[in-house]
Amino acid sequence: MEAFSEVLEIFLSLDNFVAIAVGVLVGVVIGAIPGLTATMAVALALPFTFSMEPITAILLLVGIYKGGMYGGSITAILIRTPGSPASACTLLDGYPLAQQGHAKKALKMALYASVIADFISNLALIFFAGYLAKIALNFGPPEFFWLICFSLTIIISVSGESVIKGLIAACLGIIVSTIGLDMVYGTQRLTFDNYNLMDSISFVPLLIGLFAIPEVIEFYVKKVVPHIKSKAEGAGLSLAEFKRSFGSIVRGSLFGVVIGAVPGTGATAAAFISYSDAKRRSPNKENFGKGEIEGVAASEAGNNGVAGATLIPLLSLGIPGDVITAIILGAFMIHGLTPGPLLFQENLPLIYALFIGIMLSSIVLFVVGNVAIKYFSMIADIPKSILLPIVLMFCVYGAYAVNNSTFDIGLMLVFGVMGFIFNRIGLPSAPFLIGFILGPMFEDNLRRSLLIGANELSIFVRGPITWFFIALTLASLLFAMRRYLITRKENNAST
Amino acid sequence: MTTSSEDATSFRPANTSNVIVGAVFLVGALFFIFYMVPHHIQEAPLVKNPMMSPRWLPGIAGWLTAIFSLLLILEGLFGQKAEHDKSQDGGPALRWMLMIVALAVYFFLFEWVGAIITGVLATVILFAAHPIRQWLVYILALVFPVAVVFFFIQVLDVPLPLLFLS
Amino acid sequence: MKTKTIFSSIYIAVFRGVLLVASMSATSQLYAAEEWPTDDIRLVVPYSAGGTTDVLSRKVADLLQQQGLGNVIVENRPGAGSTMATGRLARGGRGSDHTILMASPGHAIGAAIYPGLRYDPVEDFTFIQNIIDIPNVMVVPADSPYDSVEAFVEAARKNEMTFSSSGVGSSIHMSGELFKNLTKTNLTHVPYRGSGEALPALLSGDVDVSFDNMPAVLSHIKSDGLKALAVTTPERSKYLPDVPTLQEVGKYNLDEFATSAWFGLITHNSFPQAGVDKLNAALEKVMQSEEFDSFISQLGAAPGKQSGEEFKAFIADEVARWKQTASEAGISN
Repeated sequence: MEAFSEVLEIFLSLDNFVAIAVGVLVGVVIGAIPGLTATMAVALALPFTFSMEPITAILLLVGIYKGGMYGGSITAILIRTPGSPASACTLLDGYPLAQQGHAKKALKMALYASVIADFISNLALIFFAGYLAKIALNFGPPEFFWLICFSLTIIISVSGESVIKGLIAACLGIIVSTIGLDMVYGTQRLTFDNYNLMDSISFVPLLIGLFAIPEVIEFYVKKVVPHIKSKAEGAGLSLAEFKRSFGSIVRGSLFGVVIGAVPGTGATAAAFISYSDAKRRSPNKENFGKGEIEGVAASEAGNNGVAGATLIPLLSLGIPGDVITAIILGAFMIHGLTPGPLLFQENLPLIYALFIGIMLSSIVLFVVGNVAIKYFSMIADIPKSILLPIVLMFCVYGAYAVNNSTFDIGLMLVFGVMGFIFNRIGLPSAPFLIGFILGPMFEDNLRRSLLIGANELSIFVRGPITWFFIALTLASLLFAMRRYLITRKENNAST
Repeated sequence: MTTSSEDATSFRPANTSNVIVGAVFLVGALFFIFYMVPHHIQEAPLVKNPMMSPRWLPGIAGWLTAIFSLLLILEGLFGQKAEHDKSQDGGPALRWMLMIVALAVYFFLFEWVGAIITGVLATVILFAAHPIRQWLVYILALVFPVAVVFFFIQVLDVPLPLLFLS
Repeated sequence: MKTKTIFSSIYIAVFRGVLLVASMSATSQLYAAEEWPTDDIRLVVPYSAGGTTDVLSRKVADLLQQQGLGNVIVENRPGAGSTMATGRLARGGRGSDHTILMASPGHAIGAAIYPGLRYDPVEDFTFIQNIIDIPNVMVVPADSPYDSVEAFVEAARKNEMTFSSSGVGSSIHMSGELFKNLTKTNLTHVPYRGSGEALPALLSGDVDVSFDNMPAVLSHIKSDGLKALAVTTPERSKYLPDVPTLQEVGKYNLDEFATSAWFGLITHNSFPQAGVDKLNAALEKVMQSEEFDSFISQLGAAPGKQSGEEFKAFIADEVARWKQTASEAGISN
């Protein structure tokens, strides 16, 4: 019990509570500004934490991280501007819902799913960190390779009307992702000697360009339509809808936990895997992508399930799984702490105080999120003629701020025009994004496997994890094939 | 939609737009595979396995694009008939031309005259393009860029370029 | 026209708002020559937020501010290794009399491997001060059969072995290539994206060896997750006093092996001398402070010893060496 009082001593200070509350609030607000992401919010807050107690500093950053992830979903739902690649998945159903006047419902569902997933993820962090970290270490390049292959099969389920068009979009995404210097040899790929392209294309301009800018272009190309005032106030989330989605939320959280615990895959894969799983199980498959509330729930759960779990490799191994945890690792180091096995031996009370704080941040997110919904859902009432120019301005500033470069503004506009053309010819944008995010991981792990295995292909079947994901990949493909044949038959019967 | 003559013998594709899209992508993919890959992706020295080559993944993605485009063409020719939703085009030319001007303002003037002026300029152009007739709204176009830029610079410490401040 | 009046009124308002702020800094610009700084100092980090360079830079900025040098604003400008930000610095221009950059091994290695750089990594810059040096450590997984550099080299001459790095052109990668060239061993480079991905590969034994930076591996060495075979600096590190240096091995051409992740401030040639002097004086105080000392001990780093001139000569050597290593490894352009 002595240790317990020590934990409380560290945790019970006003600073910590303020840090969590401010962190979540700042995170939600910055995440909700188009173009500014959770990653940037955490990076921007880092210098402010120098003078704080270590625990306060980390809790502030974790609060911002969690708030920022949710804030990114707010803009994804309201104005089709995802704050992270993962919330691009939320947008698939969230934006249509907002357009139908159900912005508030979508925002609420996103919040509840986020908070529940967050909570499950935190529990996993607290109780299974050591165990999950061991699994994570068993993920070498071949295991990753098959995990990515499995993740690529979800392209089929997010393709919308035409699977073929979805696959074309995914291939284009992969091609765009190869721009830059080659990872193994350092040779130029499609860079045309342009220095701005050598570090490959950064995802913020691509994300904003692909999803937000086409809305702006579309609005000014179309004929003026009278503004349909869709009162965001009206529709809330019904208990029935929440119950219906609950299974998907829990499953999504678990996907998120497992994927988050393995460094280097990230929330995007988790969100999309959760989404396609929910779609597969749902009786209203056809409604996914057109405004299905369960789609919002599933993708948010997958997305936020990752948030707590990425701290597992960070705390137990000192390994950051994504950019945000890399920044949090930096904050640890500034305060004279090195996450890793030794931290658990030397600073256990601090770890437990951190756990309490992280749990508390989920609750704070729930409160802050509810307040935020109240105000942010008003955005849905602003006429597009006023809203879109201002959104565009934010997007431009945000795209510039990522790398402080005008080139990124240009990139954003190019992807915007591309997204507009995609919409016109019926090519879905989500598979493009998945191709762009997963393409490099696919290639990296394929090549690493070959390097490690000295070109022996047997390395690809080296253990139970590889077999598991091979089976999953095949099952997913077979299932997609079966569905395709069934819908064909149905369509033929109906014509 | 289709432009083919109305003879009894003429063949009407089920979905003309898919045929066109497929054809464009097929040509694009072939151009990519046979021109872009060999000319703009450097081959690395000492590649022991073809899968290790920097050209491998772009090549595969290119070929897959070509194959799927071909499938799209076939589907468009022989697949199910698609009902067309008549596209909602037809905004006045000035409207979308002003939109393009606004985008150009952001791209070309941003570094040069700074974030505030481009923000104000582009927002006003877009408001005028709609066109918005309430005067008060134009004040927004002025207030927002100034407020946001100062928020970025002062609160967030994100250095946006400004004309008069270095 | 209505729009015309809108434009003009907007312009006037913007002008007023901006002028108000501009006047504050403009008055001080008159004294530019002796009085330095006359404006906020910008410390450019050529990498994105969160990495070692970023963390170090923010700490240094914080400490410099405490020395009364006014605001020191950290600006991340990542891109193309570190060559984007460096190239921009080399071009000079507006504000370059208040801009400094945190240079790291990427400065020298980038010059060796990036094609067609438009600047000279040595002559185009003024070198202010080398701030810290972080040793690289030759580490193998805990269950590796090799307990010494000799045993490893003998085995790696007979068998194919792999080493991981945080990416092509990182100091970790180049240290590995240098080791490979000097010892004539069969090492294959397996690149990862960042140290965070590279480390699990080593911990799990997927790769045989790495020449990772001290801060990333120190806690794993202490908790027996990894075995340290040697440090890459000429002197032993005070954090790992029992681990020999590679030079101590005395065989396999390793007697001249010395690499480290060094960090230091550089600036454009037009930077005022008064500024260099003031920065040097402030840095000297910073580097003697206890806060700095406890910070760098966390990184497992040693304080930099080189003055501006020595630093410049050192970088010239680095560039030459990495050019040669890169061309032998087949990654030069």
